[in-house]
Amino acid sequence: MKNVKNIIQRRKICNRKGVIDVQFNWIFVMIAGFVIFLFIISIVFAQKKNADTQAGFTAISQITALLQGKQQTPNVYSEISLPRTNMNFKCDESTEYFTFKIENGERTPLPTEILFAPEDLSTNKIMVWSQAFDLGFPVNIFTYITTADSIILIYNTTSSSDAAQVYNNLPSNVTKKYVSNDVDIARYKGYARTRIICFADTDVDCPTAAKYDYMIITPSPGSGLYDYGNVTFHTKPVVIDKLSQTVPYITKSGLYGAIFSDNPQYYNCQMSRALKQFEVKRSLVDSRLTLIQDALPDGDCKTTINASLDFEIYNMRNPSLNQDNMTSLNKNSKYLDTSNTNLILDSCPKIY
Amino acid sequence: MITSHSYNRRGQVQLGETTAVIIIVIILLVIGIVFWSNVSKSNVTTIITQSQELSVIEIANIVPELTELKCYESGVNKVKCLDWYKVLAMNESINNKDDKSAFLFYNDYFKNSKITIVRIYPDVSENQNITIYDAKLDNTAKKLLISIPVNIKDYVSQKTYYGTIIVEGYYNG
Repeated sequence: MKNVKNIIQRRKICNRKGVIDVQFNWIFVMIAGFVIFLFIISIVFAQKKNADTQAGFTAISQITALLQGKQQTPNVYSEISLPRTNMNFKCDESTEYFTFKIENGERTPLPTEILFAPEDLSTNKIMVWSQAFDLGFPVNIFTYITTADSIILIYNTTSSSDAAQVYNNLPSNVTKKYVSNDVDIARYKGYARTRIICFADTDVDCPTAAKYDYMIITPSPGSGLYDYGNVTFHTKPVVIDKLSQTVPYITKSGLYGAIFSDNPQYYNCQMSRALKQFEVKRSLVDSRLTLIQDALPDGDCKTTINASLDFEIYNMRNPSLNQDNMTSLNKNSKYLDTSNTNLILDSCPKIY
Repeated sequence: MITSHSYNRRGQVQLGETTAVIIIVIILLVIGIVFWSNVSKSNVTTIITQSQELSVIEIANIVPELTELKCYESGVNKVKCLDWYKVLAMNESINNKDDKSAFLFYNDYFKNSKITIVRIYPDVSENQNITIYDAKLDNTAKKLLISIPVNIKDYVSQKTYYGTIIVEGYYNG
């Protein structure tokens, strides 16, 4: 009897132990399951991050390839469709280091490209145009970027030929309109980005200074619109930290560079980079003409090349972005063009 | 007869089973991850090699298109034609030991490569091989060699030569 009682008591203890065991098993399985679940979730997130990075990398490499491709051919307009993307172009004025970034990706350097664009873009289609930057010899091809929600308003009350030139030379796909008063300008308020251009060839003919940011193009007296001159980035007086700034331009490609730039700082930075490239190309032309001069027999060809070397090529060295240098560069590049034509007519080796 | 010992053993066996299952699942997961990461790694290596090879091909495409080397006649850029004096001038500027600005500028175009212009026919006497750019990488790097046939025009003698552009691209494979 005592034995039976003992057995019943022991069974009760064992049952309790079994309950604890089963509960412990469940807790153990749940914790282990949760850890495994977290592990799998972390792998999924890591994969997603990798896929995003890869997609960003593919987008960057495709856009970089397209932008670099533009550098090979002047006067070409094209459109690049892409998923709505935020892009940022940055030209560091102190280092002249030019990079671009897509969304939150890494910055991609564009060391050889001279590209004029708004610093920040959010678009699903970029419109790309290119123009050759020649100064007596080819220097580079400038690339211009704009978007479908940007507009160029050309202020023209006097039927100026300069206004018509700027308007007609812009690609037809770029949104552009003539305006002649503030009411006209107000009609295009819906655009995300508006660039108003006015001219100061004989008289200053611009919108109300207090109401709008605009750009005044002042060709140098006695020269054509596309030779050289000044561009003023006018800022309406309410913006305290921004002041109007005047910068020089040279050639058609340089002028459009200013038109497609958001601000004078970005334009200055890209033009300084272009002038650095100009110096490298100038030194190449210098070396080539010296070699040709040494190889040529005495005669007209040698005399013309010698004169170009001693005057134009020499005087064009190390230019910087200022009015005096632009005047001299314009004058010398015109002389080089004339010398080149003469060399072609005389069946001589050309300057470039 | 059921004793407390047998219940204990049963509980221990159940716990052991669960632990074993979990350990096996974890081991299988780890093996899967190791296998998957190895496959991904080899894929990444292939992509990197492909992109490096592509960048060499890109350099080979850039060289004959540079206006600094191309023949230029009355506003017409001639296709696959190099101006011999432009080649000589570039060689002089890039390999100038006192002024590295041209080398640094063209480094952005030519990167880790060696570019040689060879005049093949006719009249292959002196200066037939000109290395205009050499990144001077050590020989341990892998190399992809691309050769492009071109015409080379000497505007002083008015002779046209047949030649090649040899682009040797270095990369770590």
